Amino acid sequence: MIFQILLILVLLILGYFVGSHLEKKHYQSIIKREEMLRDIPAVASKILPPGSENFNQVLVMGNVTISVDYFKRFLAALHNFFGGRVTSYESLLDRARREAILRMKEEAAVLKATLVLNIKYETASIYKGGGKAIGSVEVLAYGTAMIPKASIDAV
Amino acid sequence: MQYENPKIPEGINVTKVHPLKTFAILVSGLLVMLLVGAWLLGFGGGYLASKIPYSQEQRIADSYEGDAGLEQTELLRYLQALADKLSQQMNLEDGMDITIHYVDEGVDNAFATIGGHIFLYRGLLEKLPHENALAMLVAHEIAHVKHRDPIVSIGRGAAISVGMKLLLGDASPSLLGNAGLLTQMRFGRDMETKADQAGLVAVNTIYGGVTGALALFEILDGIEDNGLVKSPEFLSTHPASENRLDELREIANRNGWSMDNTPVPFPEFFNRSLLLR
Repeated sequence: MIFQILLILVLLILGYFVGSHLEKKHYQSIIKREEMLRDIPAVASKILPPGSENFNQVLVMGNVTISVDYFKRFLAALHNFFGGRVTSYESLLDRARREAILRMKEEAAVLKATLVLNIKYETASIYKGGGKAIGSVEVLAYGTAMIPKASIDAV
Repeated sequence: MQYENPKIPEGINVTKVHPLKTFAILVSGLLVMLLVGAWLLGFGGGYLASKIPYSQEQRIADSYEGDAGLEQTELLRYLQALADKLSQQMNLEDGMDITIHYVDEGVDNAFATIGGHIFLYRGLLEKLPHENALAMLVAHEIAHVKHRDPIVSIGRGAAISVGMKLLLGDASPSLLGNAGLLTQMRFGRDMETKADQAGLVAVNTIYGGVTGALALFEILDGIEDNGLVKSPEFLSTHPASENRLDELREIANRNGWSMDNTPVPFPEFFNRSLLLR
């Protein structure tokens, strides 16, 4: 009994420190890369802008799976009991969405696209199977990259 | 192209609460709920157990009969006679019989359990100076029986462990196992104080004073001091002996009971029987 409580405590402390360190580092990387890819807007609109005949369209996507640390999961279980916002998962999903968009934009940047249209998200939770398997979330972002024909000609 | 990509403020999708703060609030909420739940269960279980007829309590306790060696020694006859004298004085209900068991172990302990069984250990008896102190000890334990403390304590324990079993899914297999009955007896501090007072009244009536009775608590105090770790009073169910002593002295003062009566010595065979074994 005491051993179990100690184990949980150690896992909680470990989960908290390692988890928040990794999250901080991830956010720093996200903010830096978002700044770098700022000149490629990603838009949800389905309508091709005027002048689109000068662009080639290619499907681009970015996919990420982020796992939840022990501390966040413990907190979420408590939230499950009391109700209310599951605050510990908010940053997790925020990171996953932004990372997926970034990876999509990185693909678009390689293709020399100047715009990504009609972007959409797909999310999936990966915890089915083992009863106590650690939960993780997958986010897939995809859209239509608009590549100016001139840049292709130049290559 | 007319699209632009404005810089979005950081953190708008995340609630700005420190996770440790959330954790502290939720965990303490859970603990409070558990404690209140355990208290309610214990209170309810204790209340219901106090409604169990004494005859049923004795039936549950039948398993103790004979296990402590009811061999009729001179010592045991003497202890039993003392208990009978005290229980007569303390107006026990009809059918509430007190059975003394002497345990030949060097433990400084004595306790009452269900069915009116009182266990006295050699270790504690050896430390007592005279009959009055012994009478106070026995009277204290008889008072527990009279107040139905053992069965209430078991009722509390059983209700709480059933609750924990429901909540956690598993617990110790036997809720009312013999081991549980004997070792997990815990009386609340109010129970102890009431037992002290009832015992003191009986001892005063029989011996015409409380000197010897108070000596018991001085001895208990000494035993506590010898312990390696002295737990603070709020952690222990027995009130600290110094406080008990002060409280009982005050009661004796208020009632004008004699505090300088001469204690009755033990019969000649008492110490011999203790050493004999």
